[in-house]
Amino acid sequence: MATVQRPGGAYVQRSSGGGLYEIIDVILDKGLVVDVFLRVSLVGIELLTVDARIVIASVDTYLRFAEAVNRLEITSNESEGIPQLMEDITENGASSKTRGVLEGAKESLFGSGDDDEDEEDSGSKRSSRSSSRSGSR
Amino acid sequence: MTAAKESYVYGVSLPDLSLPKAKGIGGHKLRLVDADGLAAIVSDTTPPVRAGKDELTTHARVLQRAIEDGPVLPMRFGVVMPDDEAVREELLDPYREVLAEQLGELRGAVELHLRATYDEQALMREVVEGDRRIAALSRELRGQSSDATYYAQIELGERVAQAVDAASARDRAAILDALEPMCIAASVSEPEHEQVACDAAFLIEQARLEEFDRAVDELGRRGDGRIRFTYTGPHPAYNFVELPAQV
Repeated sequence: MATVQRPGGAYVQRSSGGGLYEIIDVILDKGLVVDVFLRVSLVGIELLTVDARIVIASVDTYLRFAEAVNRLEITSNESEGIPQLMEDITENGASSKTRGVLEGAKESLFGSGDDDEDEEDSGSKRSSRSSSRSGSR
Repeated sequence: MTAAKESYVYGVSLPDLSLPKAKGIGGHKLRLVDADGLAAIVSDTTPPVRAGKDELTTHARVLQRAIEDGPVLPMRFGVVMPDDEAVREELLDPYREVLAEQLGELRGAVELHLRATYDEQALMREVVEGDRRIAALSRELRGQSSDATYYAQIELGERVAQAVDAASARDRAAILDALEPMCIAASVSEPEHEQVACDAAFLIEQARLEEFDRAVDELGRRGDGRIRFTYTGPHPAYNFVELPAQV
């Protein structure tokens, strides 16, 4: 997908436009739309939004933050040995959990190849979508 | 039994747009449907349109290529009209004035996306150092079993969450203060995740692109690894087009 690729500093990661990952929420949520003609089977897309929103301000978030802070204290105050080793392990575990939420959502969108299941899902979502749209004009 | 073909709409442009050399969704050929000085980029489709990876990528790619040739108002993914006549009668004709006006505004302008994300460790360190109560609570909880201190953990986490909110509000304001004066318009989204300080789209005059690039670089330097920026574009102006709810 060719567009302008501009040079970037060390802390600015640039990529050319149109990368699906960057644009995915945008094309589902923004852009011109004539409501009555929006006809799309939403394969796991509601999940993408819902999962991402749940992350914000829930008890889980608080516990995760607490964990992150505690981890930080130990890492900076203790030197090495088994506690440090244990810490490394939890750290890896925790960070993969943290990232897991968003990645999980993306996986549910792009699927794992089982298209048949997706099609069924989309059927029910499509009908609920179109019924909620029908009165909107 | 074959389902009837309908018209999938990618965007609205001018009749002299050269169509991108790309296939539309499902491998269908792109074409222009024009009416009185406006033209819609469409391809045949057999609905429903599945929002799968290929379909989404194709929609994005067609528009991405199209904006290289001229101003294009991008449609949201999934707009399907019964036929080309409907494209004229339900989209181009009734919204003619507002479409033409927005095409005029987009001439020589580009949309850029910027997302600022915290380095979690740096942010947590800053939060602990910046709040004595958080530091004290965290010291108290250290070494205790997390079952025994469940509610204290939640209290600590809630305070951290508040501190993170405050930090991201500050950082978001600083980012927008630096960039907004350079742009025609900005559209700021609710962050999708608490580690995201700012998620925004900017509409910039092409001529100011380098200036904007430099400003983003400068933000990156000031962020010093504490905040990392993902900076992409030019994109079709998804964030800066709109149709009125009713004609």
